[in-house]
Amino acid sequence: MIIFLKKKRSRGSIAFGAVLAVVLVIIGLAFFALAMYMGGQNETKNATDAGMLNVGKKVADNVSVPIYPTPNELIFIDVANDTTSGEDLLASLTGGISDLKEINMHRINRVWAKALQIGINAEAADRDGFGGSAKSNAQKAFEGAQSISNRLADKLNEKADRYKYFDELAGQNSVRMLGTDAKTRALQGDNWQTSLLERGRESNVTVAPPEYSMPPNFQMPNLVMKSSRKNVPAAAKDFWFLSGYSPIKLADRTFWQIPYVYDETPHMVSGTEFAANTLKAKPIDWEKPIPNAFSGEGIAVAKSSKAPGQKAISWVLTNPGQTFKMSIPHSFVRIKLDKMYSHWYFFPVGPQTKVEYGDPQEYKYQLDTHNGPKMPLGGAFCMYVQAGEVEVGGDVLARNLDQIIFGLPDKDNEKIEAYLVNRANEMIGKVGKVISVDELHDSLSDPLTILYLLAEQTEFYMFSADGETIEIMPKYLALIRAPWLLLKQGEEPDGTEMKLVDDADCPAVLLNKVSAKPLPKCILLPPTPIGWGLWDKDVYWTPGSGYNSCLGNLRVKRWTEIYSLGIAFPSLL
Amino acid sequence: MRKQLLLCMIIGSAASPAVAQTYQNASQETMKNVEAYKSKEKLTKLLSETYHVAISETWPTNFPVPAYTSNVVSKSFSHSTKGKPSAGATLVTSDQPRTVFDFYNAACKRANWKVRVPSAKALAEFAKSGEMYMLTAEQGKQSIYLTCRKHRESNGTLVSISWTKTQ
Repeated sequence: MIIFLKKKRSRGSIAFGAVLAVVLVIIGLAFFALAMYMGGQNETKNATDAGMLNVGKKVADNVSVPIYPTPNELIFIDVANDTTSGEDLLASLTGGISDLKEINMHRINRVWAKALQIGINAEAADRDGFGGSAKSNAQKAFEGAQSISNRLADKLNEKADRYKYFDELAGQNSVRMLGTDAKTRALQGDNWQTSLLERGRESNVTVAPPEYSMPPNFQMPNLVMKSSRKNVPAAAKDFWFLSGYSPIKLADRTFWQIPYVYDETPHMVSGTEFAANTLKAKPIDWEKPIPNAFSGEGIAVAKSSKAPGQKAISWVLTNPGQTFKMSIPHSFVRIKLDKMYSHWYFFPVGPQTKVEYGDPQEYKYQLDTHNGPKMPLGGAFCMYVQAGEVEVGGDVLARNLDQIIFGLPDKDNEKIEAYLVNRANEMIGKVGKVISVDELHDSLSDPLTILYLLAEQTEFYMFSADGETIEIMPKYLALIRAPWLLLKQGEEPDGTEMKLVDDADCPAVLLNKVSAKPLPKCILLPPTPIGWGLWDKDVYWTPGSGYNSCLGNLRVKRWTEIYSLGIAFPSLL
Repeated sequence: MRKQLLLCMIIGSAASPAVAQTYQNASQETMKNVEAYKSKEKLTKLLSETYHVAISETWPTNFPVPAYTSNVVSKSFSHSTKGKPSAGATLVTSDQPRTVFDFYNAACKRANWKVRVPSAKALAEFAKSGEMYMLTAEQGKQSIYLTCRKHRESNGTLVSISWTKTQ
């Protein structure tokens, strides 16, 4: 009996133990499955984040549209690259047909900025009353930028590229908890959206300070902003940026920028923030805005599993991490020097009324002796008055181009400086670089310009070959230094000519030994006969919007007036 | 008007008929102008106001560089009377260009001007060797541009000095 009871108790314990073990195994397996599920979810989320980060990077770098070979779009060749100088010789020479000329998210703000700069130049010239056809060209530039921008927006709204970029990286991320052969891929559908984040924050285009970036007498309040970062990197403390997703209104046109906060990289954002800034949730006036944020959904499935797989959604804000400066890299100012002449003046009816007599005589950039004419009855009560041999050219001899433009006789130099400095800065593409008035004068003061003038080179081009400095050279040298000028050298400004300096004059340093013979019974009135001279100068400016690369013509006209005064008086009086 | 009537009466009565005819042919405007600027002061004033220039045969004592005094044939001086202060002086001497240039080069350096002289090679671009010398000099806001050039007529030197002061 005892033995029987012992056996029965033993069997019950074994059964209990077995049940317990089974339960424990089941619980363990359940926990294991749960852990695998949770881990798989995390892995899927991580893989989706990775895939979307890749989307954020690749859409900025790889999604691009070509510039069409139409006049309005070809003008953007010089900003369809990542250099400050706009240099891309091959594409320049092929007129933009080369497929190297692509506009992506890095460059599109640069394109808009160039169109804006052309618009600013045209509007400023128009307000001055010398706009010519600049406004019409500004409209063409605007349409060109808009057309490129719209195409890029369309391309970015296509999801195929984003699916591809997602799969490139998401698929490499481990989701082993869902199965050894599990992989994450894009789950195509409506969760792939775009949004417009960081509204009102800076774009990746900087602008030179207003005194350098704006033409004289022109202002655009609120055009620029400082970096909106809480802790602005030291390098960017002095930078001014255009503002993203904020309408930049000029005349009857609205220009746009995409915000890319300075020195940031693509990063994940919250779904709430993303959803609150979609075009539908918060519209803007931009007809076809270019988005800067993208959402995407990934799904992790194992080939060996019939399970539906894990899903995750991520939201990424893109940023090309590249900053440009609003500029027209392939642009120039032409400096033209008119031929110089000596003009001879006499006073046949007294010292109040001058009369030009004799043909004007041309002189070059060296000293020359001109024989003054002899004017019959060229002075009051004089048989004749004759100007002597006069040495001319003292105003231009051994002068550099800066002295020819700004030197004696000088008046209103600040007006010339204002236009030239503004245009010089419009050529500069390097971020943070400003061409000061002193640098402008330094460039114009190149001693070589003395030799160019001596060699009778009277047409110069001011341009930037490297996007950092300006150079001033005669045409034939400029074409070598900046080959893109080959296609542009004949372009003229689209504005009309204005006079910046009106008849500046100063006493000429010349020796005019005048002779005169009085009429019979008359005597010369001392101190006559006397001679003197004036150096004269006019400076003209023809503004160019930059649409055709020409930012303006500066024309300098110099001449020498030589006066010969003889007054006689009837000796009987 | 009364003066002109008087003038005509005097001419008509005192001059020979031919001369009187010539004078009578002169317009009233000419007579008026001549009468108005008969004095040197009035002429000087006209030149100053109309052409913004004052002329003299002597260099002022406050001209920043001294006048060369050896074998001088002629001198002239003019300065602006309006706008940026500027002046020009010329001098002809029978001395040779190198001698005159050395005088001015030394004078500028003595007066602490910052002098720049182009190289002989650069000068050769502008004139035959030994026929022209030049310098530029700066001192504060003043600048001078000076050339000494062979003067054919005197077989000497023509000195041209342009002075200006930035305001």
